[in-house]
Amino acid sequence: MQFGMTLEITQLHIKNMVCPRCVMVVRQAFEQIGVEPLSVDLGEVKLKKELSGDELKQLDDLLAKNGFERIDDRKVQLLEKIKTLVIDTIHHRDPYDTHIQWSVYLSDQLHYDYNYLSSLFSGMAGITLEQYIIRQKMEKVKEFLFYDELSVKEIAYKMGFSSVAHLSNQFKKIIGLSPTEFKKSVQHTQSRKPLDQII
Amino acid sequence: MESAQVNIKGMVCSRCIYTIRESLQKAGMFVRDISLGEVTFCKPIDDPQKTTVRSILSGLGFELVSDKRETRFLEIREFIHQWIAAGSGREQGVTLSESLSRHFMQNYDTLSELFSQMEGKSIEKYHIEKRIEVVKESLVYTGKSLSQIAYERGYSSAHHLSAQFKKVTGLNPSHFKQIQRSKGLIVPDHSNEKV
Repeated sequence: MQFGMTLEITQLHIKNMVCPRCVMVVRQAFEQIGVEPLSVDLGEVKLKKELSGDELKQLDDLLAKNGFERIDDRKVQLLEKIKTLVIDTIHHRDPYDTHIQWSVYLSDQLHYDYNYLSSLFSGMAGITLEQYIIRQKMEKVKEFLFYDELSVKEIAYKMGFSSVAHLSNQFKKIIGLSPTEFKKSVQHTQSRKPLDQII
Repeated sequence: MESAQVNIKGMVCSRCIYTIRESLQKAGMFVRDISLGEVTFCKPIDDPQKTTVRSILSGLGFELVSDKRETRFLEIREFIHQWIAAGSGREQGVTLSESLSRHFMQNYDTLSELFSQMEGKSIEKYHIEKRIEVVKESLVYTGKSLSQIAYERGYSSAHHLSAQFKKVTGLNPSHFKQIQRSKGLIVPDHSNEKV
């Protein structure tokens, strides 16, 4: 928390934001209730002043219509922040940092001990944080396979796997098909998942 | 009924689907179906419509997958042209495949597959044919000897050049030169880009 000049700024936390279009849609929701946010980022909106009860209700309705949810529980907020960091790191950074140490990175960013973050995550999400990270990575691999621009070997290299075999094994464990089988399957467009529905 | 499909890069969630549907419909496009990475239109789209789609998508931060492939293909082709102009690696002592994969930081097989799909012939074949075109010009327009041309164009020997020339054109280089000279005109192949 900052004090002084910024004392008036309010933050709202919003669940399920995963990409620039989510930012756009959330911004539109605020416009519709006649509020101009200071900033809209993945999972977080900054406002000049607090919203009235009426405005909040309108906002919640608009958000719900688009598959979002405003959250005020601190633990839920933290859970969502973890997810947003994972999604952002895996899906929106090019090139992907293949040397990332998740435990160090997440605790640095969120100022909590990794053990705490990890147990909070598995308690609330029902899968471990490691598992969540793997699933997000596999979703990214699916996306690459879908574009058909890189070979499996190149994808493995790009996403920091030690070998094609390593990637293939993990992919098969999560998806049930090998990357090559997945690429061949005709229906693969249907099998990509929205990033906010990975768990 | 006929339909048309485009593949889109960067779609990751239901809001992506929502914003694309919204914007396309506002532009008067008839969208039948949208899933992550793919839009199906009710009927085929023509070039102006494709331009509209492209600009709508790029405004939303997306990209057409086919554009990406097309761009990469053109880059590869341009690289080959420059490679030939620079003597097909005669000074560097590296192969075309090595320098391509180094330049694009991609597996040669991937580049090769893309190129063959777009051009309808392999990189090797394309390179050989384009290089022979340059040799033809040198034969007719300069007084250079065959071994000198072979050296300049990166062939290991005049014999090698001669053999490849015959394979591609069906003629010996000297015979080719003779015909062209006697006719007093040359019909260079301008059907493709100049090398």
